[in-house]
Amino acid sequence: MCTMLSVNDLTFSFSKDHLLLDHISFTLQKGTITLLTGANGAGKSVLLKIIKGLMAETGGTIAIEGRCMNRKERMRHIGLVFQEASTQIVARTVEKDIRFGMENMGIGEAEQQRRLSHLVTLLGLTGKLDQNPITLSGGEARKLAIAGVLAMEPDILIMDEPFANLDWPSVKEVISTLLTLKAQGTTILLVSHEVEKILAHVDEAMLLKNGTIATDGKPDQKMLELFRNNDIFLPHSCTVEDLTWLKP
Amino acid sequence: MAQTMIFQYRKQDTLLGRSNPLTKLAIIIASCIPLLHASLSYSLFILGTLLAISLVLRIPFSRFASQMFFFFVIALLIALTETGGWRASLAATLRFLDFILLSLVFADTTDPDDLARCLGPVLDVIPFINGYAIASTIELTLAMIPMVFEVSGQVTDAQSARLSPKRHPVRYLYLLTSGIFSNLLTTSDKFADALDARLFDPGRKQKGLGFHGADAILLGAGTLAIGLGWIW
Repeated sequence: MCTMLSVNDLTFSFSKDHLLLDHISFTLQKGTITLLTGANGAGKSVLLKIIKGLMAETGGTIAIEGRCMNRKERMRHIGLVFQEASTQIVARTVEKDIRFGMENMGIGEAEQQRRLSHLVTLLGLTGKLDQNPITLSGGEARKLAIAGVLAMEPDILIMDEPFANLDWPSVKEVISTLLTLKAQGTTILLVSHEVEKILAHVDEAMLLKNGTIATDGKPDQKMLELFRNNDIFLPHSCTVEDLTWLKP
Repeated sequence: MAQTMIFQYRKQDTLLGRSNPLTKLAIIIASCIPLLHASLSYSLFILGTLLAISLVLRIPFSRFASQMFFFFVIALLIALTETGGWRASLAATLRFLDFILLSLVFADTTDPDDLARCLGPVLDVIPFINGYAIASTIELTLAMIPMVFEVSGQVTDAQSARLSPKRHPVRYLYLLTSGIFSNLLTTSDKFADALDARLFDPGRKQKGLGFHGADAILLGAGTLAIGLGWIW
């Protein structure tokens, strides 16, 4: 397994006297799902935006497959699905929204069509191509946001709170989609505080606390206790195995 | 499911939906000239025609009721402030409603993205300007109109739910406008991030859309309606 993303000594601050992200370092392995969690205001969304290139880091480096990249380069290699899927949808039809990123990348029509067909089948959006995205349900809108990002074939897919505002069937659909993508070799970084919904399916988990990574590694009982002690909700006295109840 | 927004494109296989955005834009611009000084009967004729088109397109007016309220208030103000008798007053109000309905039909049948694609190459012919960037700006502006209505609706609902003091109109208006403005800025910021994240380049050259038989029919009908305006 090779390293896909490497974040080294990353810092970020809004003011001179307080570092929101304090010398953060971690790696993501190719074809894995990693969960990043932390309390509200821990800086999770800022970290995602910096990795994607939407915000500039104060210090440190970000490398993809061993090559350090600036913000502009990272934009092409990393796909980010926003917390509110509806804010990410920019076109007036489902088809145009999926094509939007590809057109901006200058991808040819034949290749666009190939990716479009593949994604609508993969994400179950067949029959909705002509629909206006505002008429989609929450789960469908999330799928469209994922499709729009995946169409650009990023090396890494980042999702900010993928389960926010979703009902139960939609949560299961998103988990199912994530597992399918993982099986196809996509590297995924999830940011969520709804740990109980996804922990059993991730390969690695990290806790962001006071601007630093407080713990990282394969989820185990010790990590669960640490999460509980840091105000991350988990059902009382459950194990990682217990959480596999959420099978899509 | 989100509420249907006014001035929002709906993809439909109709004559207007198939027509090139440039044809529709040209007809709108040309029709504005006779409409500006149109008589009562001509304004009524255009209003009837546009209402018939709206019915064919099945524009969901009932769902727009709250969003249309603003335009009805303006129409009422026009009717009350227009001098020159009831005929002039009615004609001015009908002209205003014609313009609103014309915009509604245009927005309902024209994807802002298609408009930008077609306008870009045309505007780019003008020296010293980036036509594609201007077309993209128009596209984004059109795309943001439903957003303004959506945010306004959300803020109005939120304030009504918390019994905002309507008996103090100035305070109510201040709270409303500041709330709308602040929410609009936040939404626009997210929209800008979404565009950046998917490598949006406003100056990117795009190939325009072609013209078809539907354009010829529309152009003929439009010319006839505009011609009637000059004669009437």
